[in-house]
Amino acid sequence: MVKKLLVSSIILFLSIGTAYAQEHTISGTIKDRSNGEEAPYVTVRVKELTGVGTTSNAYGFYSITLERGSYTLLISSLGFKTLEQPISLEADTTLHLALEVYTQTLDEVIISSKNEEDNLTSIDGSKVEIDMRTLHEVPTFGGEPDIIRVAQLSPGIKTAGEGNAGFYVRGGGLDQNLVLLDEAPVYSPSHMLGVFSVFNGDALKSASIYKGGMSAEYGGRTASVMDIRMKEGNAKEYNMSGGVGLIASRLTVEGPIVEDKSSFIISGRRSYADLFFGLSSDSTINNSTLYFYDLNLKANYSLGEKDKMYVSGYFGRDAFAFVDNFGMNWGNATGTLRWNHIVNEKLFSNTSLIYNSYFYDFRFEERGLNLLSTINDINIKQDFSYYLNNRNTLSFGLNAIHHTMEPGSILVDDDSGLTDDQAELANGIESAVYAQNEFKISEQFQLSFGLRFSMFHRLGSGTSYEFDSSGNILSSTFHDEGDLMQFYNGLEPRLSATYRIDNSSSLKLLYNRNNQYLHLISNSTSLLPSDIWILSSNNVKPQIADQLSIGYHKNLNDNMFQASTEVYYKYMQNAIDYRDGADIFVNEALEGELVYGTGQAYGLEFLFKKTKGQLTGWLGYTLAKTTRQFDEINDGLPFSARQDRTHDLSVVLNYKFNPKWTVSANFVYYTGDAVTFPTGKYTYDGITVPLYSGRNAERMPDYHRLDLGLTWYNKSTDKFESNWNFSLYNAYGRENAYSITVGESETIPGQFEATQLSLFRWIPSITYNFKFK
Amino acid sequence: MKSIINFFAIGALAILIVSCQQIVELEIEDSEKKVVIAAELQAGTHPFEVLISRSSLYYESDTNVFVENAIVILSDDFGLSQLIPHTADGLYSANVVGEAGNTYTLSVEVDDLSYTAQSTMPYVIPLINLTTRSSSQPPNQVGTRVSYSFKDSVGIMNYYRVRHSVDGELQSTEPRFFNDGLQDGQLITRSIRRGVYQTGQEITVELIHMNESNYDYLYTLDEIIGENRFSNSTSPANPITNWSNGALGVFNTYNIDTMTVVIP
Repeated sequence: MVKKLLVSSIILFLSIGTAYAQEHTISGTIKDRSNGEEAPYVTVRVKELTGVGTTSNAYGFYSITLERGSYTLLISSLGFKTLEQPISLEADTTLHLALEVYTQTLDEVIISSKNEEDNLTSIDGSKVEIDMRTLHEVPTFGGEPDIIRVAQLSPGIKTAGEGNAGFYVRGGGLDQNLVLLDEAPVYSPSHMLGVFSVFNGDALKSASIYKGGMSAEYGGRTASVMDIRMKEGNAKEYNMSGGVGLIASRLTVEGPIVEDKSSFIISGRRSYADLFFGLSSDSTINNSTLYFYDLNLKANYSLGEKDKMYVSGYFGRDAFAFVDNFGMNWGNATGTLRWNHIVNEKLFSNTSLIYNSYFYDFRFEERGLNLLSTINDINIKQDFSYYLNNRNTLSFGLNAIHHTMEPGSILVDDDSGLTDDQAELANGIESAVYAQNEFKISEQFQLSFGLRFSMFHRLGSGTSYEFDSSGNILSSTFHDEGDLMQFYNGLEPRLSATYRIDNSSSLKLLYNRNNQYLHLISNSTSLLPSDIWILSSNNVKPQIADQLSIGYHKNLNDNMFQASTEVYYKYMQNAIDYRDGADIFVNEALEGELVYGTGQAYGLEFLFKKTKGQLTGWLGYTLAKTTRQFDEINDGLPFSARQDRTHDLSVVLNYKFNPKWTVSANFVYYTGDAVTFPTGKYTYDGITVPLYSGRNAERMPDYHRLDLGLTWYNKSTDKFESNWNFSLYNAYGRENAYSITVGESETIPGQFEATQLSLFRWIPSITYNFKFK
Repeated sequence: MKSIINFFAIGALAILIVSCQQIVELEIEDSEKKVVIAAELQAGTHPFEVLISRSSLYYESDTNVFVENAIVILSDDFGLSQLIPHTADGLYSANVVGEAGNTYTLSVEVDDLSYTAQSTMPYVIPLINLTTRSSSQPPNQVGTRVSYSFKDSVGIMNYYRVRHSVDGELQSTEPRFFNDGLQDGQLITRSIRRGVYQTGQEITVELIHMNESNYDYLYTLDEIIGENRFSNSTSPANPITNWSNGALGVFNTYNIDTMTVVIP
């Protein structure tokens, strides 16, 4: 199978390079005129030649090869006015282009903000793009515009629950999403125990989520890729923008270091609710701590026409302490050093050196101990884009990440009567080579296909364990530093095909296989910072997912409405779950508590979107099923995964009354998570024991919520613009279940009951956003 | 002024941690009422007791529904069998001599359904000694700690449970179950965790040697009801039982060695 694929790939690669006489290449960089930043993934088409065109890469570079002659280039991208650029191609030409930001006014509703048919023609079938410019118009929680919250309103992307920055994509787990910030993987993308994501919308340029059919460039997680890119900083002029909210405030400063050559951006956020704590006379409050801050930094420098250097970083911290009982600190830090080089008019190179780290430190005062965990990664990435001809664009490259993980150590106080339990550091190298080709076969038919070969080396020093079938340790082997403890590899084919049926509809087919060598072992149902990441080992095999999806896309009424429906089927191997009754919190034989099985996910996603006019928005609906099967669990019978959501509905509406006022609303409804609750009870040895009917056999109550938002734009001047955003989260005060605990009543002994904890009824917020230009 | 600050502080906290707890009724399917059989056979001559009841609905307030019409028969390797008669309130009892190495089969018939379980009586693992040492970690841990030692038998997986009493009163602060995983055949010494005793107190340690199926049951039971655990189970499930036909509970056979020390 693999061999066949390789051979056919090679044949395709070779057959596509048919040479024409008198060909010339036009290439260059596409920028945003307003701030001089590079514009990624811009569509470039040739007006005279239907079906001929290309897309700028992630760094704004484009290249197109045509026969000599005169043409008109049509350049279009989300949020920009379409640019028509006449060219006369007599020799290889360098042409830098700049797009103008599209600002919608009431008189202009007919003018589109982008190439309206991109959703039909684009090769990315299951991609969700978040428009950063309208992020603050969606009702916010606590006044913080949040890309992950907006993403969760799309079909196929499901929230992991209230106050949770984790998300599930097409039946995948929380750890199966590759979240990249300027190419650096972010392990725990949440602040304040998950209430906010770590991504400060002001500092971001773009965010795209691939639910399937991702390019071979991406790897390491099985369910999805969320590719987030930071702004580069305005290369034309200085400006300062920010927002003041009830919980947190933001400030961003950006500007040129050397005009049109070098620029920077610094963006910071801090919550300040805790500043009031210290002033309180109530000791429960003034001895508590609760805050987060984060900082995004980026600078770039052009070394001539062909080279550009970037340095970017993220640094975030969270601190939470409740009186003197319990405390937790955690944070992420990432740093990316990047070099873009235009090798020639067809070949573009990107080299990145990435560092990222994550840590948490929990303090349990009563038990007199600290629980610590850290992750450190060093990552080298080399990518090439090769614009072979006007039908083929190749991308290829390699990537290696060295992981060092401390999966959970216990440090105890001297008088606790316990002993330190220093976890062994786990080391591993995850590496891959890949190639992907985007092939425009005809005006109707586009194909993108690629192959990724991934490898994982688990390295010493470290101890490997052998377990018996019930998870008891049989033997252990110690490996010296640098010894190869385990090796895995896999071929990951990727395919994405788009067939344009007619002017208003297209059909898309996607297939992808992804391998995953890192696994999240969660002691909770939510994505808490205390979760433990582990590396594949002799026991923990790589997770593998194969996904096939087919989508039908249709635009109606002169592209005013975009409708799409997709069906997907995913098969997962080496899925990980816990043995019945597992206890994974601080357990040296943790791997013995894990069992391995298979999973299936399938579903139907429906999206209906209105893109033009005073009223815009969408309706997304997903009908889905996600099951797992493990010999050791549930008597070997398939059971629902926690994230099995039968129905998931989201409605997002945005109405512009006039240039001053915009109102917005979201409504979400989804089936409650599959969970294990007792259905009966009995007495054993004088103790009441709960009786379970099976793993995840019961359901949490259904979830629904309405949020309202109102944005008021003040009159803007050349120097200053501002707006007020009023949001009401959970407008009708639904008491959704955050958690349900069952047990004996504290007031009536012998009576057993379920207690529901609900968070966030009616959370109003006011935010003032401003920008000095 | 103070009240204004408090108002802000509470308000800020409230926005972040506005939560509300309430008793709810869950939509759950009523589970069938299953038979629960708890039987413990100790080595030596002891009363053998079998308690048979039925499970009840979780949110119903009724507690024990005793099964009083069961036919309970204990048999062993040698084909000897003994009827265990009903005494009172679902309890079936008779004097039985438990012999190490013997495999016992307990069969229970309730309303035309029969349930069986098997368990092999383990050999005794003797305690070697109890040792005391003074502990002076301030502020409240001044006193004497107690350790116990025993020699694990080599080559096979052994399963243990330890109980201790203070002045005849059974305590339950011990991590109760462990196996010889990485200590096969070794001299194992453990101390009574968090136990600090004063002069004159009488400490009794019971080393219970059991077999794998009983260990599995108690271990997995502890994972769903244990109070001394660091966290509750991530994946609650019914304990692993040696009963056939879906009965709950366990048929347990075990051997005990006991040692007592008076704190000097």
